[in-house]
Amino acid sequence: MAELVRRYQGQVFALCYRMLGDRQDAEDMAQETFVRVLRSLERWDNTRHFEPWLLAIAGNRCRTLLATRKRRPDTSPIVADVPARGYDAEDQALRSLSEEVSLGLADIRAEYRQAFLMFHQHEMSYGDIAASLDCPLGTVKTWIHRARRELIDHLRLRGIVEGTSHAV
Amino acid sequence: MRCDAFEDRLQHLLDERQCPEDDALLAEHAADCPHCRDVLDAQAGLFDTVRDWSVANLEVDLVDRVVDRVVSRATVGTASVRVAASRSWWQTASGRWTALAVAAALVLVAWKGIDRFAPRTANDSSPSAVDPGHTAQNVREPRQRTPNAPLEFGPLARKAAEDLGSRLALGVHYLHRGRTAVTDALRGQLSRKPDAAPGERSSSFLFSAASRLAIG
Ligand SMILES: [Zn+2]
Repeated sequence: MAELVRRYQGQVFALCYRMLGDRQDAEDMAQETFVRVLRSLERWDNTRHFEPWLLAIAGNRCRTLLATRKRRPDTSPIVADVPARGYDAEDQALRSLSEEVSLGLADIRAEYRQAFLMFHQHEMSYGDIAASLDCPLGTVKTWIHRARRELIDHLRLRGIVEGTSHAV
Repeated sequence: MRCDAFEDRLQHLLDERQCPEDDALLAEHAADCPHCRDVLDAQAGLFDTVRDWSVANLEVDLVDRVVDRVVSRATVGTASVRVAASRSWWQTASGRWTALAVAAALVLVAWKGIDRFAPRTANDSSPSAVDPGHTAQNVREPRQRTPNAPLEFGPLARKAAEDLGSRLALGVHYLHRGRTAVTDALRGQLSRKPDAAPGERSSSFLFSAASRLAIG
């Protein structure tokens, strides 16, 4: 039990953090995810991969929490993730880029965000995402394409990209 | 290549987890299209950032928190089961009602048995009053009563049955069913032992059982 939490807590927290934009909420949701998973391990279909199932539960918990929120999450904790030392031009660019991506993520639909993060942050396959979210593969693909488009547009319109892509 | 074809190809490459910046066709279009050049730059910044996010700095260790919660829940669950299991059936309301209904049924059956087998006396008019169907041939050689024998509780049984019967409006149905069941069971038992002293056996057995149930 402890080993399972130790092994996956970083990934689960990372997903929750990007889904919610708040460190405390992400810790709570990661904790809730593991408690729920450990209490329902017998329901896990062991012919499927464990990690997608775990991350889907985490993402779904986050979406449930987001649905109860009326306002956009405060993204300041995510901005604080970027190293504060050395305010040179490169760090500033990194800080701005990370902040803008966070803002862009907060603006897209929660299911797009979840699917996007599962694919790009956790490198899950379309098949695994579709299975773990229990929806058609084509739907997952559409969600991820829309998420990319909206995020790219957000960065492009904010003018944050010019000159930074070479810096990172 | 047109701009929409550029986007389609970009999405396809990202689906395949290939690097769009290395693609000659995209680069060729981007060289002549400022919009798509921005898109190419933006996606590069986006995915570099997201890749950096794959490892988040979790400042707390969730292991103890999670294990504590899961274990405490399991302990509480086990304790509840233990408490529930340790509660006797008569500690529940339904258990008590059932006990009362069964006790009353047993008392009624015992009463019947006593009426059936008890010797007739001048001031004991109950057999004909209660059960006019009883005839002399049903009562085989009534035994002589002795002091302290179970049959001495006949009036008490009647009283108990009356009291219980008056209180248990809800249990009338169960009384009837219980009485029928116990009577049937008793008949079966007696038919297997035709030489037993049925009146004494039945009343003794039923009163001890009924009193245990009622008191318990
Ligand atoms: Zn173009």
